[in-house]
Amino acid sequence: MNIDLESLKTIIKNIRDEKYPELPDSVIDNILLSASEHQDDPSASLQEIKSIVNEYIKSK
Amino acid sequence: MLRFTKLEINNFGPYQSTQVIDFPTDDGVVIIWGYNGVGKTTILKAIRFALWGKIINENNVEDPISSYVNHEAVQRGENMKIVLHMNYDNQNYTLTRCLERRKESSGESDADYIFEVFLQKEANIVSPADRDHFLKTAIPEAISRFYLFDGEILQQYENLLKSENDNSVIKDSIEDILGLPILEISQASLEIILKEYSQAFTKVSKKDARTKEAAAKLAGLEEKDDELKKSVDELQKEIIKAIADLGTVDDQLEKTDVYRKYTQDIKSCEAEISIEKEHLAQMKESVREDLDNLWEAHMGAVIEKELAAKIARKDALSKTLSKQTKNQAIHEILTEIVSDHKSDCNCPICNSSIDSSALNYIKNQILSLDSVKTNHSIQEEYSALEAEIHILQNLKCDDNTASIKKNLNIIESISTNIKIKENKKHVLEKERRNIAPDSEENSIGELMPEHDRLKSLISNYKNGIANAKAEIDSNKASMEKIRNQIMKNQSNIEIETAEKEMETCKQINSLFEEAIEKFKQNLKENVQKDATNYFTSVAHNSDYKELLINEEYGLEILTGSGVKVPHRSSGYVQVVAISLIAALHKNAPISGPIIMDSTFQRIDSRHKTNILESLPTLGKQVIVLAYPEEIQATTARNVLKGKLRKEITIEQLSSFNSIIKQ
Repeated sequence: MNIDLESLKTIIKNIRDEKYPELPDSVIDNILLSASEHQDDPSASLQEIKSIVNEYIKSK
Repeated sequence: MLRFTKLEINNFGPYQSTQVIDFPTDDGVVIIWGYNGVGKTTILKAIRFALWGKIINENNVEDPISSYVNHEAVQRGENMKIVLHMNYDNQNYTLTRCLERRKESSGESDADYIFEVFLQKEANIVSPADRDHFLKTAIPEAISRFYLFDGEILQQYENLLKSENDNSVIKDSIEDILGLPILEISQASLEIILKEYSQAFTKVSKKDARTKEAAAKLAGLEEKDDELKKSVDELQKEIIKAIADLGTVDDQLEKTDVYRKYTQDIKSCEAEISIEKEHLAQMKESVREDLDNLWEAHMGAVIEKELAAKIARKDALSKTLSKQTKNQAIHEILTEIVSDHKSDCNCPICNSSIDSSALNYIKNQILSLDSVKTNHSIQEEYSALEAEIHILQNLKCDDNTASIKKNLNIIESISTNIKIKENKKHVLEKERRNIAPDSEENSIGELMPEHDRLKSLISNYKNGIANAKAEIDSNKASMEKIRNQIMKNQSNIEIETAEKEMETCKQINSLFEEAIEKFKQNLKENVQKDATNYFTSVAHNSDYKELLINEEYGLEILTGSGVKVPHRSSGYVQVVAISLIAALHKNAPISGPIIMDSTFQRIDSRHKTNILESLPTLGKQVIVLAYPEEIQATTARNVLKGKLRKEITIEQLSSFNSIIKQ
């Protein structure tokens, strides 16, 4: 399923701007991209998202 | 964008050998015309089978694929194959599914076939993993109902308005087509990651003497949270299982009725065959008798000719005999005149005077009559002829060749009827076999309580989930309090770091949780707005102003005064359902072919015209399967104009042989 991720990003970033301004675009973009690429493999998606989140948290 | 470019159907349903549909590459509408029973729905099923390897019936139960192998192909021991050619994101794909018959099998069950599937991308066969990935993502089965649908599926959307129904399957499909899974996959992963960060916080808090006790409580609550979430997962699995069981029971209920109907039809068929066979035996006996007398028919012409000759001869002899009799009478009269009068005298008949010269003339005449003596052989021949003619007339018989020919034709016709009826009976028996073998024993009396039990079970599971979720929320609040307490009491850098990391992760998770809610809310608003726009553009009732969406994505019709329209007609049910589909496609992040099977039958001509006109707006490739009375061909051509890219006709040659004319 070729999802248009831009519409999802817009929704998330609008909420982010209002409530969680510290969260960077890259985290949101990478999480969505990973979930999109691994729609039929949730465990692969979990591993990638975990890595994205861990990397972001450690970088703070 | 996924587009079908070609479909090859081989020995599937009523299609024998290979039938091909080439789909145009330009955006627009294709109409496939065919009367009921010729194989329109089979095309929809062939595509379903190609894409998902199975065919699900209206009760969500799989049909045996072997039941779709062409009946005559089964008898010939041939295989079945569907090849679907597609273009996906500007690359060509060829998907092939086939059933290869196992040697010495009857071909009547799925076990009699080897199922094979191949996917070719451009010129290369792709790996099974890539093939499965493509099939799961191009048009996921979960959203198939919005791409390949018929009138029955449209009717199901009406259930979305009834809160007592379990609409989770349809609701999930709607959310799937609208792209929600991406957010849900992200959030599910974040939930797991957050749990790990929370556990890390609890772990470091346990190490500090000042927070040790609270951390122990927190660990207990985390365990409880785990258990509650597990129980929610379990209950959700149980619901899925119960819904599947309910589908099976509903299917059995339906099949019990269908089984009885099949049994009744088979018995009627047998009775008809028996009558035909009796008629056939009578006709054969009649022909046998005619054949026994056939030699007479062949002799008839000879006898006729001989009889005619003898009658002609008899007629000739009759004239001769008549002449002889007349001469005899004249001879007698003249002899009487001559013997009584030697000289002049008068005629004994007219009393005229006869002189001596006349007397001499009479004497000469008597002499000439004496020369014509009576021939007794003629009389004998005449009598013999009369006897022969009598015998021949008794032998004379009608030519029964024409009657034999006529009866042989009747025999052929009866034999064909018997063959057709035996074929029909065989198909009915085969179809009946495809219904679960225990259907006959299943009675509504046994199935209905099971149906009710499963409905009640699903309801209980739902309540269980709601209660567990409430407890999870309460537990979460308790955990939050304890964490705050730990943070107040601690002076440990490790705890502070763990808390910061947990809070960051919590923020990301909350962001996605809120995005899901916002996304759903936006979608509902957009679907309602677009469904209303579509609906008001095709609906003919000027008082129908708006469609109102509910939590389950059901759509109510609102009048100008804001009143919900109760008990709408079945035609409007379909118009609303098509409006929902139009809105979903407008908001869906994926685009693919839309195939509509007999979706116009309950809609009146005014709405049909409007919906026809709107078809090109539903999707880039719209394929309509319709019977000629369902849509007027001229109306379709006039309304769609250049957007009607192709018309295809299905023709039925026999029950098991339909052909596609492009």
